[in-house]
Amino acid sequence: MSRRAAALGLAFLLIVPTTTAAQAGTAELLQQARQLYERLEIERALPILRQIVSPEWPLEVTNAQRVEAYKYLGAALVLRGKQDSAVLYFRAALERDAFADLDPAQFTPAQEGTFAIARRRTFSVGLRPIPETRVDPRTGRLSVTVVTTHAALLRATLRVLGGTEYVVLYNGPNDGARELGWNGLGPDGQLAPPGRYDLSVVGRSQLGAQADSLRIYVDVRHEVEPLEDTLPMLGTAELLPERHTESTAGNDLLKGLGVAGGALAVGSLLANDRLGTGHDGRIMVGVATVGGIAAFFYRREHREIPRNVALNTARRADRDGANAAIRSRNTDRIARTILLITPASAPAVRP
Amino acid sequence: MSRVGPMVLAGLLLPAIVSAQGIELSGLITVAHGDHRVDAGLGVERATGLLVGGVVRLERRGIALDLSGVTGHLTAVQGSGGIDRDVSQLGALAQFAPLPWLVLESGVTFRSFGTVVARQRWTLVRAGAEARVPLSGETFWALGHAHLLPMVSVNGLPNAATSFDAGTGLAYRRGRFVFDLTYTLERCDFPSQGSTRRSEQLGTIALRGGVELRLH
Repeated sequence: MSRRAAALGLAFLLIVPTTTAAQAGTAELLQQARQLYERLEIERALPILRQIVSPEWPLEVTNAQRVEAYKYLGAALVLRGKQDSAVLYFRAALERDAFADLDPAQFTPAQEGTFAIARRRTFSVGLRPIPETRVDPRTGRLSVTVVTTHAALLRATLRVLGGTEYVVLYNGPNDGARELGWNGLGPDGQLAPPGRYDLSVVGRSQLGAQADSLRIYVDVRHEVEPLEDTLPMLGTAELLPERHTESTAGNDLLKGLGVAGGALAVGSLLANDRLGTGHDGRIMVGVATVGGIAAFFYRREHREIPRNVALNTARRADRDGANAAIRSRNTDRIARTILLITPASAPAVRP
Repeated sequence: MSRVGPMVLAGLLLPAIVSAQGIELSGLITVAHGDHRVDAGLGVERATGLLVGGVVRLERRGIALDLSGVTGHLTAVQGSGGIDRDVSQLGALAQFAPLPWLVLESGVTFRSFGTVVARQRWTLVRAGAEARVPLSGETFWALGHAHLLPMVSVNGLPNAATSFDAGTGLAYRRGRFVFDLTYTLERCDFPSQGSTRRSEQLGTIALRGGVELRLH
């Protein structure tokens, strides 16, 4: 019993450290190396850091972790007096992240000097990831931070994916980090249409012949209040007839003759037979007959209905006025459009 | 004088009425030719002449009130055996338009015939309708009207047995200006008294013209 237990205990002690090391993970190992470095246990920190940057390291290593490992490798080698090797590691860090830097509170001036040498020998451009952003083009702008490892000519442009026109965000000398802004307008000065955009940064070193470029894709969407529909064209049911029908002239004649006939009937049929009637009724008959005939000829020549034409014109004007107001309100809403900008690709794509 | 009282009262109330919003006020001048015929058993007496007067009309939301007055002198036609007479008349007529082309009307008319020998006062209550159809667009209109006169009271005579009026006309309206020409025949047959049956008839052809104001 005691012999068997002792064997199991021994096996446990042999296996557990191996398993623990394998499960430690890159972050934990990097933390361990940093602690060793800070305790100036450089000899113990170096193998761990080399293990992290080794291609044979089986666990996943993020770019940030790799850059961190290179920085500590370079710093450790400076402390050991191996400046050339340190420069190589610092350059490796800068090639992977142009924003990489040494914190003066944590690193010595010698390390910073070596890092500066690496900066001069390395050329790369960097672009900070763009977070999801809401931009009101009337008051705000999208901020983009770019960097070059040393003095360079920098050009940053933005264009619709597949488009030929572009907006130049910056074109000039640069050394270090620079914040660029985009006001949300396209090359034509109008609000940038929705779609996928290509933000390109190209740098050319002023210390050598090196060049570097980066590209990031962002999606631009419009956030606009719902627009009102304009009123449709007025249909025949909503408009009054603007011309009399051909039968109207004949009807007018009949009405005039009807008035004449009525006057004749009143004077002859309704009057008291003993009293008789005078000429008044006959005057009315004559006037109504002439009026009916005049109306007949007038209507044949004048088919239009001015009142209806005026009413229809007023209705059309009302509609046009309402549509103008709707268009004006829609224009105001469009002017208040907010741009929603979201990253569509990894932070930076090297073409 | 007591019959004139309601008309005077209406005239006094007129400014207050028109001060209300949306009322249309029309003022029309009337020039008419009258032909008055009477048969009281002694043959037809006939007198004709010119009548002049006016109408004030208030209208709001399809309901209208006409206040009218007319006066004139009718000259006896030679050979008819009549005598000259002065005519004065005041009337009030309420109108309601249930349809665009139809107006229902009801009103009262106070009329006075004055001669050198006597003055005869008439009170006529009428109810009827007027049809107005456009003759040519909305400028010219054809008119036709008819009223029953259920009460015709004349001093010294029994109430009329059968009374009515009817007529036709043409109207012209352009902008605020209104003109119309109407022919009206008013007939009153009185009950027989012995072997005599009195009949009276007043025919007029009237030209009216005026202006319409919209008060806000």
